[in-house]
Amino acid sequence: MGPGLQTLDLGMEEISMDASVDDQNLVTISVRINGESLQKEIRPNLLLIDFLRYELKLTGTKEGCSVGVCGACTVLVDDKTTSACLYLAAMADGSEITTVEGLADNESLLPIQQSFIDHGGFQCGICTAGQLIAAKSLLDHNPKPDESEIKDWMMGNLCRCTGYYGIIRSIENAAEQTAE
Amino acid sequence: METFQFHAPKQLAEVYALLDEHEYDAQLIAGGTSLVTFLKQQLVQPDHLIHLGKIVALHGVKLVDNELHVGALTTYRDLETHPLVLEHLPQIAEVFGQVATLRIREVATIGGGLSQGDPAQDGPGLWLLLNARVVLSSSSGEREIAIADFFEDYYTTVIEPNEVLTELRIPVPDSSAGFSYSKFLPRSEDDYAAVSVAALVSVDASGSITAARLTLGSVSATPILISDVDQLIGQPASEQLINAVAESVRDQVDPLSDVRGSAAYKTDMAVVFTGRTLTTAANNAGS
Repeated sequence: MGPGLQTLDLGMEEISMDASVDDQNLVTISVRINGESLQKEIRPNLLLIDFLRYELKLTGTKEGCSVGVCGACTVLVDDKTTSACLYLAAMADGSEITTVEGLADNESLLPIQQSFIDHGGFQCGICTAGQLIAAKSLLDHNPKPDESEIKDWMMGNLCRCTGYYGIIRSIENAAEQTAE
Repeated sequence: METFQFHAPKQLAEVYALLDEHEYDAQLIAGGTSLVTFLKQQLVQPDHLIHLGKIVALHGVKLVDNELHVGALTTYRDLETHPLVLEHLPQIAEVFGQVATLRIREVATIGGGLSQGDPAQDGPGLWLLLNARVVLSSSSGEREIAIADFFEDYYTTVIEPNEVLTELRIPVPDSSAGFSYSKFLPRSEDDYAAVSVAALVSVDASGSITAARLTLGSVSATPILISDVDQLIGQPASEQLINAVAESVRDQVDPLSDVRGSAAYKTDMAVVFTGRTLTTAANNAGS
């Protein structure tokens, strides 16, 4: 483990300790995360993004703007694209949640993931988990989207590196591949 | 975020009981897309947060006596894509397809948006244009309120602390009426509008206007109905008449200066967008 990761772990511990402060109000939630059922006792004011990152250590999902605008924290809650920063974990009780960690089937990437690699769908990677979740949701609803449908669907997922063309190309190519 | 006690009742009766017990200390939450930001900023600090998401009775869209009845938990995306909406009130799908981003539309709910009472949202002006009514329910029964009487001030509605907004009822307008909705978005496509304008115009076989209705959002503490549009009735639409109506909104709007523009600029834009929206609605009208 590199020094960067150690720092990250420290941050998580601080938040986890904070979680036990208001234990009289704890809420028990049952969720399925990436196909795995689990039950957890949480603070009622715990955000879904913090639940995923700090309680479950699913750090693939990133927090960007914290106000639902940038799309970095996009996850699927019962197949709906959801800003994990604007959603309480307690509200997700009984839900099926998919994060970027749930996309690949064992070792094999989804076509949309491979396509982001092959067609320049990312550079720095901070927005990529959200982009992939949004793109997967698009292709689930519309397996052959045209460019304007892609732009419309992906409008809420900001990227400061690619200029978006790489993302659009990645989605178009994944759609073509899946159709073949 | 301050902590609170979290409740997720499955029945409306449980919600009423919680509201009766905790009154102003309780806060309802539906999709949370706005309320969670308020909780984070501690603008709202409830002792009890009551999540409505598990109440099945609040979902669904029905056509009843030529009105759409929309359950409070219907999401913006549900409304945008629902077959009954597309068939009978495509105006709603047109407007809600332009709200924020898809990710917000998949989670934000009709009841949540209305209860928030934010005049900068797209819904309030549209619901006022369409003469919609809301149903407010509590342990002592139901009452129906016209949208015209529902909004009181910024973020303030007539909902009592013991009430839940359970349904929105929207009469289906004359199918030949021309509709137009436009909003001024000086920052980004997914932003709240600086000015929004909605119009419905009906014409007869000779092209004379027989009915017209006009509302503005984002430019006042509540959405506003512009009665001056009645001047258009009885004659064909003309640039001169439309300009006169557009000019009449200048004294009726009261926008706030903010990052989207000064009050004076928004007032000018309200006039411009009213003219454009009325022109398009009149052009869209079929006899």
